[in-house]
Amino acid sequence: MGEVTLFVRKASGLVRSWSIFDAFIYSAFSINLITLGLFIFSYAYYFEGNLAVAVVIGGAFTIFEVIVYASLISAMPRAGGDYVWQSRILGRAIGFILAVTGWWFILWLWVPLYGQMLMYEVLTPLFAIAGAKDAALWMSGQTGLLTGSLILCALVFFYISVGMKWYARVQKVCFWGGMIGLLLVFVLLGFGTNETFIANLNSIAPAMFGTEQIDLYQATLEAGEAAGTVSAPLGSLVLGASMLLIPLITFQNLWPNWGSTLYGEVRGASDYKRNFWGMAAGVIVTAVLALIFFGLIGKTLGWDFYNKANGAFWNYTWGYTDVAPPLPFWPYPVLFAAMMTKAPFLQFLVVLLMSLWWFGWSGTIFLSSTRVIFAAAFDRMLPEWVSNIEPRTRTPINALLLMVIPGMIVATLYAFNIFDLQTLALDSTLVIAVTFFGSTIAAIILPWKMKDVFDGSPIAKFKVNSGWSWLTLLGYGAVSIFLIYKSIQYGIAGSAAIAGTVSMLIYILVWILNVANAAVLLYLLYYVWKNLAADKQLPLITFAGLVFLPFLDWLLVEWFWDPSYLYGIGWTNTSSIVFMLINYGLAAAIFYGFTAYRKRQGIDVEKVYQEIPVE
Amino acid sequence: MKLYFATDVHGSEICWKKFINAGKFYEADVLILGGDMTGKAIIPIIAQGKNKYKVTLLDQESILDGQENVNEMVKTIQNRGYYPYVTTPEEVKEISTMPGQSDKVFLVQVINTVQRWMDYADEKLAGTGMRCYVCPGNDDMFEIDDLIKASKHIELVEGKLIHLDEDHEMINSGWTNPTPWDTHREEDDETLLERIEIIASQLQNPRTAIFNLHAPPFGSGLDEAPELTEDLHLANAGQSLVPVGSEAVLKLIKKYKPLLGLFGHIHEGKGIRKYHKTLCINPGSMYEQGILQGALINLKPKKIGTYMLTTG
Repeated sequence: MGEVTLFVRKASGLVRSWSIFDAFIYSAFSINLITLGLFIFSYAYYFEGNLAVAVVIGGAFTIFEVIVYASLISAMPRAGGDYVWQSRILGRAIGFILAVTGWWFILWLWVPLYGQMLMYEVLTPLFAIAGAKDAALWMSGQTGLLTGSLILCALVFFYISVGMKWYARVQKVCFWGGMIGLLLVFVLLGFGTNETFIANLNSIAPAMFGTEQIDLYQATLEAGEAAGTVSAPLGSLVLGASMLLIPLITFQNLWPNWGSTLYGEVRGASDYKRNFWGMAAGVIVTAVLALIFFGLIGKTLGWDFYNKANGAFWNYTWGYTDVAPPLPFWPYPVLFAAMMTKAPFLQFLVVLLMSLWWFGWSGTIFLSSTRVIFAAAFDRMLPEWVSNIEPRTRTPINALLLMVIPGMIVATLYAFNIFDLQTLALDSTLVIAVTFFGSTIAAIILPWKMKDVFDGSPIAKFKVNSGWSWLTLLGYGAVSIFLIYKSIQYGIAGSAAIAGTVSMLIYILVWILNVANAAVLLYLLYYVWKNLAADKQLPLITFAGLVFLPFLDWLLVEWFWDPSYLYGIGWTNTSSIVFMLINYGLAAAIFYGFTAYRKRQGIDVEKVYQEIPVE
Repeated sequence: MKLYFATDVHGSEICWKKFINAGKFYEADVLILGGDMTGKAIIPIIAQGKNKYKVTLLDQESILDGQENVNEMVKTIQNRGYYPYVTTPEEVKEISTMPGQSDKVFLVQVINTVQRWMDYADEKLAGTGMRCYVCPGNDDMFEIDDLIKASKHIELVEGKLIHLDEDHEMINSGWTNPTPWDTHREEDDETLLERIEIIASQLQNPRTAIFNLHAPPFGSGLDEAPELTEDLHLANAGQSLVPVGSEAVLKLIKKYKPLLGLFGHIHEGKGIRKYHKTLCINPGSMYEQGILQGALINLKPKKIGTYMLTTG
């Protein structure tokens, strides 16, 4: 028997730990390779970098995000996540505005994105295999995309009314089914040859989608070439160009923290490790699976073909050309893998099993949103009625409507590309990255800002030795100065692209953000320097934050200035900036409006997060 | 009249002190503690000789050098809601091998702590005119009741009907429906219904009453806790939440339709739920971080004026 270090008595809440494997499942769903991954990888055709390199480097930085979040959870479990961490450490206004934008408003934009993935990855291929080619093609059209968003909203109502107990079970079934599907895809691609694929594509696609009886493979290569596809071969490193892919693929891999576990009492550092490994395993395994998938695509479909098929499809879909692509459907690698067999049943089975990646994942994000809406209502920052629960189904009907109604408005604008909304896909990532930026700052300063909480937490003893601490801080300082320099350089170069008054105002706004960003980066440098000089060692949470924060900052600089017009959401895209301003403006209006309103009611909401002084 | 309600401080010294000081900070007239005052764990600080001590807090082992470091660790452990226990390797072995020994140590620690808390409260509340009501919860041993009763400024209200003012009565019970841990004050829902019904039936005006009951109503959302496997592991990595509240409490809320329901017990269940005109609140608990979650309610004669959940 080991040495006894703790005695517990019979008391409620004393539970045993959770399974790391279960935590891994939820993390893997959150950075879903099939839905989020394949969707955003299809955008990469006009980047000169190598997706595989970007996945590895992006994944490495995400591990630091995992440390930051596992640490925050260990220090303040059951706090409810970003909202309370930021409200408590950085202040109510920042906590509220960043949480409601990142966990609620921006999910309105995710509604059409989820709907689009449902249509592209699930319904279009399934209907095509079943022989309903007109229906299949309709589903990938504008009305189809809107229908996909409606189906999604209906499913969200269903998920939430059945509750997390049942949805967690559904997710497990989906995980195993999806894994079997992925294995089948790998087997089909692994044992197939490029010749078989070309022959099958040319014979099966006309039957499935009614395309012309031509050499579709060759025609796609030519259409992709004309679309300007420039992707690097899988074997090349092209480090600089590959780095520029990272702000694109964070659409997929920035979310391992979405499924982290917040429960358990009288527990310690072992829970930190469980949370860390659950999330880190999600990142690592997903990255490895992505690399295998890329390799198999390259071997059997042809990496060049894959990228050119994407180029041909998106260039037409986004309206850059009037010439329809030879393949009139989104180039779904899973459907291509299914074409390695001519048996419709097996084709259907493969796509159906792979669709479980969508069904197992699509509920999680919306369940999180209702929690944030509830938390804001409990803090009296929203009307009481938003937290009402419909008694018969126990569904938070009003909170759901606050998701669904704006979500459907955005979905309509997106489906018909009104205000160029289809260019805003990466806004869905940027706004959440800003929320994570706030939490990462909170994590960096937590050990000193909430010293008692930190010192009494399981992570208090996780420290980096003095040499590494100073080296990390110096590295942070150097990267911060580089980022400030880079953003100034981008800003000065950007002046040539000012086109009109609105453009000028946006340009000034982004410059203001530049200055604020520089101030934050330098203040943190000073703050940590001062405390490191006294403490000699950096806490692990601060160390990880000092690595992850510049990474996030770099993403934001690239997204906002976007000097090479790679991401489409930068300052030159008025729709993007206006969309985000509406989000943040609405959040600020609610915050300051409700604070004033509650004050008039005699409720001092300033005291919600203030610490009670002890005499 | 302004009420401040908190619950489930579970031995956290700093949370208790915040609770006692909350009246002044929030300008409340009445303080109510909903139950579960006592801690769940003892952390031995084991003498190693030569004035050195070994302690493992939250899976992290530390060697403490000298009394000053021990005192600092004692404070950290107390603020987290555990009981520090300075001891020897021999005694640790005895406690861990002799059946019932740890219960005896727990009882001493619990009694000493509650007595210290009562002394602190009596000192701080003296002359303030503030009323303070405490109702032990299912995790609290019966032995603490006499200590609370003996306090000059805190009133033990388990099983009692209290007249808060001429408009508002409050009924109180820290008993709950069964838990997987077979705790001190739990019983099946039928018996719990009878227990609370005895008090509730004495209410003169239930519609303006306050129900201070530890167990939240079943299915209210205030009772959502992580689902557990049979051997008490967190199922589905804690993603799966299930209602674990009391059917009896739900029946009573629906039957009497009180003005306000104050609940605790489920630390993750922070929230608000309305049943017709009854406002039900569970402020939740973050006692391990020394953060006192609470609810501040401004009562009008026949209605609730304003309310706010706090994270203090």
